Amino acid sequence: MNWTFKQGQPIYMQIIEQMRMNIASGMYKPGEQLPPVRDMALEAAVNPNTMQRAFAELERDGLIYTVRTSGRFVTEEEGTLDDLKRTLGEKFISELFEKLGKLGMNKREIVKAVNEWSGEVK
Amino acid sequence: MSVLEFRAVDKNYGRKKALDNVDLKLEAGQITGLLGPNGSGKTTMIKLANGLLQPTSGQILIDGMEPCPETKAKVAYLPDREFLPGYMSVERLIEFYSDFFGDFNHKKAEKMLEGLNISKSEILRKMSKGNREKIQLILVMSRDARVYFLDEPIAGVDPAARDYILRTIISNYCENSLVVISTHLIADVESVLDDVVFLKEGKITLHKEADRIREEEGKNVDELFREVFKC
Amino acid sequence: MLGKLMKHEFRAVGRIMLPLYGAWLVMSVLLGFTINLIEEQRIVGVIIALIYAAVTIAVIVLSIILIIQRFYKNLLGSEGYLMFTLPVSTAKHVWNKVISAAVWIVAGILMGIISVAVIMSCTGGIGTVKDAIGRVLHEITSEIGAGNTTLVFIELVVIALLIAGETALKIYASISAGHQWSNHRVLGAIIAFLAFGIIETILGNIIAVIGNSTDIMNRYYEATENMSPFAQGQLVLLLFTLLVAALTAVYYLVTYKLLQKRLNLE
Repeated sequence: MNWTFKQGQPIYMQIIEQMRMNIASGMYKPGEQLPPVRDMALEAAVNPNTMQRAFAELERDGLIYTVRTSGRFVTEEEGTLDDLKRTLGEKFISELFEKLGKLGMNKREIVKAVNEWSGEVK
Repeated sequence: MSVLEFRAVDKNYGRKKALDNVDLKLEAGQITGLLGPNGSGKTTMIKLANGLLQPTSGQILIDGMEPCPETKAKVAYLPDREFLPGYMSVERLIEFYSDFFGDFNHKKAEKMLEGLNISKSEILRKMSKGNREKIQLILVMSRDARVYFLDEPIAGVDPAARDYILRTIISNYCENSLVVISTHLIADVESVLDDVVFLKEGKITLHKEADRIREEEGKNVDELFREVFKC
Repeated sequence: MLGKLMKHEFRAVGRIMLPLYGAWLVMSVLLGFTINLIEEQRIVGVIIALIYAAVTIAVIVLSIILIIQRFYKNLLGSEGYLMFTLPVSTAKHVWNKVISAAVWIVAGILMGIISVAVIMSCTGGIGTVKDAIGRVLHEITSEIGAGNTTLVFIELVVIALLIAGETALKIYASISAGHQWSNHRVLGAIIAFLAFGIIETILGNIIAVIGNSTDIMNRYYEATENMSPFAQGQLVLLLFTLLVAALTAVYYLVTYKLLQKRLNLE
């Protein structure tokens, strides 16, 4: 998996965002075991402490859980996963509105454009 | 007790002040970047910690002890130059390191050599420069040391080798050890750093976690460095 | 740890000196067999003799160069970054170099003797030499006794080692002192070496003056009047040994102090 990090943002936060997306998109399936922190740090070319910090927060949010002798797993809680997808979805939509708003479109024009666009893409 | 401590360290070379009242405490389980332009005193600090120089005043402590054979047994140093006898073979060098360093991990060394396709009977001076540098890195990183000092490990190194070096540093991470990377090439290395020390003309001007810098300044460490050290 | 240092030191020097010793032996054999050809003005004999001379000179020159190089390059050059980060005290590093230097110098002398013996064996002239040596030894043993002869032989070896060690330490002290002059390290070392020599000479003169102008020499003759010639010789040997030991100690201290407190690798 390709990790790219933007400038000027804490890396651990970018890891969290990317992992949330990976879980929501099913790249990591519910109940799937995640590779050890060290391996993921190696893959992302980041400090293991940074990766660990990101995991700790993902765990705090309930998206992953630790089984002491086995490792870390993606949650199977459907509720949590649905919430995640909804939250991410809302975030993307709000970004869309913000960006199109900058182009001078109002809400009605944006909804119209979206409908036209999805009509074309079938 | 910190793993590495500098207490009010001054180092003068004649009239030149290389280090000016340096106070620093670094802990285990960290990968710390010692960042500054050439001539800012980074190598001087590392040499002092290795007992290769004596401070003009102040103390350098490793696990509370001043540099001596006992601290040298747990400090691993990769200088920014070639420092191994060229006539020795890889096998002899491994024997040398094993003989003197109780913390030398033979298995680690073998594994790293395998990955590089270098035969143990090869003689150092007959290898390419890139391979010679990799051998130096392997020997130093194969030690299970308390402190690692890597002085400009990626300077003058091609991108593939650079990746190899950074991967080696990450996979060698140990929560009981401190890794100090001294460099002026920050962009390539900053994602690997826990915390960052800025050294300017012999004085420490900053010591902060890398992610905190990104959060509070909204910049990468590299960007902040360019601002702070603008010519 | 000192043993390990010496092991690696031996390998580092041996890889150059041992093949050279081998060549020396081979040339000794060849010279022994062809020495007659020189007298007959055969070119082969002359060439072999020349090669032998060259190898002999190479051994002497390389021995000295290696003593210098093993200190200068291995401790104060880039390799210093390896050596001085080993968990080994400065004292052990210095002793390692001194012992190695002394042993290889004495080994060189012994090899020289062996080389001459080999040449003579091969020419068939060994018989006359053996007789001559035998006669000399017989004279000495009858003068001072067989046990004393062995003793003297051992003493000479010890003194040879001591002088070799003292010379090596003088060289090391000079290199360490010269190293302090950052821009002219080699020149500094040469100046230091010459300076040490001058100081030795001055001290020697002072001692001589003291000897001549005070009572000391008379007292010495009085005290040793009744001793046998052998015993008197032993006393002189002892005094000489003490003198060399004192110089050794001084040069060791200079070297040690400079490496311990004023190391500055580039």
